[in-house]
Amino acid sequence: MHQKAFLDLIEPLKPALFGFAFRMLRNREDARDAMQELLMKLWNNRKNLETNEKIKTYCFTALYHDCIDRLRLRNRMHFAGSADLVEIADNTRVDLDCENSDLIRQIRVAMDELPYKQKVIMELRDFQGFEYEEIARMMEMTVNAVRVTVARSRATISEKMKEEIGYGTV
Amino acid sequence: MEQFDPEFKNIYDEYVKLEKAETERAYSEIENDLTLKLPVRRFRWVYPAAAAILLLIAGTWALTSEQSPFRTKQKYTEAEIRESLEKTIHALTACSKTVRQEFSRVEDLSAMTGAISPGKKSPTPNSNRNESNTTKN
Repeated sequence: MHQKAFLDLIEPLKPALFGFAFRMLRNREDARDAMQELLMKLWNNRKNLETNEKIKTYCFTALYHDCIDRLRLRNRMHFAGSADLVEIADNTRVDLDCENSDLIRQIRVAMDELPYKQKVIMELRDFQGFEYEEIARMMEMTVNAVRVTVARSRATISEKMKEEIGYGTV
Repeated sequence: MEQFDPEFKNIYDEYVKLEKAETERAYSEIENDLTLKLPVRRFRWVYPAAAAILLLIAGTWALTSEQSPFRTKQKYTEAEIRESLEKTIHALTACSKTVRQEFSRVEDLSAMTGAISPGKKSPTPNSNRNESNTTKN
């Protein structure tokens, strides 16, 4: 695969991939490093990419594994705690001037407190728009398990919101 | 399956939008760092071509130049050949002289010590026996 063809293939995916890494690692520098590593990995495996039809799934799976390794290296299997979020807020967080800013803050906290796997699956489903089947392939789970995890995550968030503000599930 | 209620769903969607906006902002700040720095491939033929030309020049020089130790086609003049032959003959003559001198020295030494000279055939026990037989006869 030529360089141009490779870049044409990868370039549109970069923002989404970075978003995934950024929210997984909750650290811009780590996300950038993970992305650079991923790009090099993809370039070195470009011969396989020619035949890989589901390139997006492949990229996300590779990035997911890389993020796991990084998190393991950090010796923690959960996402960054509130202290880290404050640090991120200083640099990158959008100011919540909207009407529902308090609610959104609550959701953010609830999401960050989700177990690792639930958070990843929610990210892939709600942020990246993957189908359950694709998520199941990426996470090496059954489709049912993914559905259950999504449901459980939503229930957890709803529960927390209900406790805090009174919103919940139907 | 667990679903958000419609009102909460709207807020959740807003949260997703905000998170995405935040990520986009972070991405725009580091976008330039995420350029895959690959070697410029536009002129990738330049280095092999230059190497081939240099090799060709070096090869031509090595095979044709008089200074080259790898020259294969040597064109000698008659004088050069004669000179070379004379040198060889001189060397061979000197060598044969030395050999002859050494040989005579060994002969002298063997004569002095009573040893058999290296040029003569050594007498075998049978030959001695034959000699004694003939004298008897």
